[in-house]
Amino acid sequence: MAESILFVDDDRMVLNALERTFFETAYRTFFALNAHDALTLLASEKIDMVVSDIRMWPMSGYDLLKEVRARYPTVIRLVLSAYGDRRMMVKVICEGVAKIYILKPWDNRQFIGQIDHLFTMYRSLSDVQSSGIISAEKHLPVLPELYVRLVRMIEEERSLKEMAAMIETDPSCTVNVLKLVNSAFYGLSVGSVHQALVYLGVDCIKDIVLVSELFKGAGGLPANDARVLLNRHMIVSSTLLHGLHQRLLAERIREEYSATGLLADIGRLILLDLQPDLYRSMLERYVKEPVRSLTELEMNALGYSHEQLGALVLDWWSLPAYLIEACLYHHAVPSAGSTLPREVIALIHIADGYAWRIAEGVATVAIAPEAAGLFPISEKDLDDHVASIMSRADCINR
Amino acid sequence: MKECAAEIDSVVRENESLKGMVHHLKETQGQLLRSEKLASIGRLSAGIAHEINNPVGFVSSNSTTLLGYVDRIKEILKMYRTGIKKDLIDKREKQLKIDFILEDIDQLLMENIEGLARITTIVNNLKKFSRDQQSGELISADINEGIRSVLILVKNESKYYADIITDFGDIGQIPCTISELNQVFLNIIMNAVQAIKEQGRGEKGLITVKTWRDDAWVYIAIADDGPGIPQEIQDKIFNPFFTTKPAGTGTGLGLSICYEIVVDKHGGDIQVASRTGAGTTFTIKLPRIREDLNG
Repeated sequence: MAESILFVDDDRMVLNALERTFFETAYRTFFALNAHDALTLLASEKIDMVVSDIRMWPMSGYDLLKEVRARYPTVIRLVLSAYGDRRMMVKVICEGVAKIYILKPWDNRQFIGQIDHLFTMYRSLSDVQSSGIISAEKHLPVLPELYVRLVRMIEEERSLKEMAAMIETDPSCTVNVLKLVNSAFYGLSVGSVHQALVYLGVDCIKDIVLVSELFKGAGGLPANDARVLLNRHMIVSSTLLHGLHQRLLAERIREEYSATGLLADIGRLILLDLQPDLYRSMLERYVKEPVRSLTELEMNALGYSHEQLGALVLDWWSLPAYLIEACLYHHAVPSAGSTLPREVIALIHIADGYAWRIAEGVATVAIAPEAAGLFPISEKDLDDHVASIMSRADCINR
Repeated sequence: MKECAAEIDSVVRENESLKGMVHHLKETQGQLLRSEKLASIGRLSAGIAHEINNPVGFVSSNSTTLLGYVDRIKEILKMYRTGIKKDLIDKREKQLKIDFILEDIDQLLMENIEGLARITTIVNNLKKFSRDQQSGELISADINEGIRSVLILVKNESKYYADIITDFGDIGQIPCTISELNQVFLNIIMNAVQAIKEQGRGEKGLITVKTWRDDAWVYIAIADDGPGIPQEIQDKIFNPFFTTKPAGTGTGLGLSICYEIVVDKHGGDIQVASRTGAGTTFTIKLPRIREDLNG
């Protein structure tokens, strides 16, 4: 049966336009003028996705989506709003109230593309989940507590100073955050958590806190070679992503996307916690005798890949679509519809490949032509860019 | 004699420097007034952006849809013109859902026209609100009309928190700087909306705007059923920089500038009556004739 979408907006004409937009698609569509009607529909119909406005009376779209999350956690939630208040956008995305925040006016074709893409993504994730190989309740790590506390502070609209003070109560996290910002964010140099927050914004710092907590490893396991290798790989990938973005797209990577290079490989870190011995030997084999892709090794041994695992965990943690996409697609750039721009996904892929080559000496890593093809640049020039970025960054030496 | 001349000299110099200071203060005051006007528009801008982007959203989406409709109609028209067999055309019409399109097309265009009208209303009222008029320049204007334009702008922000009802008397026109008075009305009404909003009560509040006149004065009363202003700060609210809002969110100039516009610039008066828990009423009176200026 086709997937169903419920649109909620207090403007009848917006709903009419949306009805026309989706008229020729296969989706079953439902429409509600307020939160109350929306909840009634959700109770009686099988709804797969809710697309809601924010400003509504008497219950706001924000409260509605929170309610939907509590009552129907598997329903995908999106915001389509004319209200471009940055604080509200950060709040909605940070708290995991919605996967994507879309601003009106919308482009019909692009909007349909985004929704198609989202459903495709969830179908592929639910395949892995329903195969029973990974069971969220049993094995997957919970969100690090420091991260949860930071998100709560964002919710409460606390000041950057207070947030910095909170992070600094955890010395090892503070050290890690500063190390990550200074080494993995090409061209940036900050001396304090507060400075990092000012430069990069809460959006990005909370992702970095997440990564730095995961760097520590589950249950405070002692650092081993494999963990050191992975941490280094993620930092080098992130540096290259930042540097290449600046050089090939002639601008800094957007604030909210700037931790994607770090988070893309989070599935590997989690794998190392789930299957320490197996994954360590897999990594060793990959670095020593690199004949196949690591993803292939994972699929053969485990039945799922680090991309799928990372995406699943991030989704389970209610993180936004662009982070899930960074995980899921950095080895297979999707054709269209992703929230994270294709160019960024392609650059994550390229950066990841070069990081294996340069930092770990895995000479045979292949860069997918559909990723490299997005940039009008020869392989030689790309090599030169990478070499020059790496010569200026000091991320390998640490 | 020499001493006297020196004293006169120094008095003249002091006088000059005082004049300079007064000039400087006037300039600063003008800047503050302008920045407060910007700030009060800023308070509205989120609501206005919302109210404009909604119609822009459906008008632009509908226009794209319409483009698709027109393509299909053209295709059928072409078939008719080339004289293809009727049953083939019928079949294609069904595929392309031509009946549905023909039915929807009128509705779609009506909705687009309404969307554009909604945008036009907001833009016109923004223009009316900030009508270019020299500060202090008095032109006959209709206060009711001014309040109406303010209410349309405020509505975008207020409609989620309060109903606003008006009771406009036949007050005619008075000599005034209407753009500045609009700023006064906007500030007081927005304060009321915000106070009600911050109460976070489950139901909408009520704001009433009433105008009437007697022989000499025009009166405007703006009443809300919000939290009220505590007795102990009522005599401070018109002081410059007095604010109850957290630092950084308000300039604290809103009501002091209201006072200045009404009392100093228009020779009127502004009074507040409020009880904690029962609401607040601001009453403004403005002279119908400015004798001070004629004489």
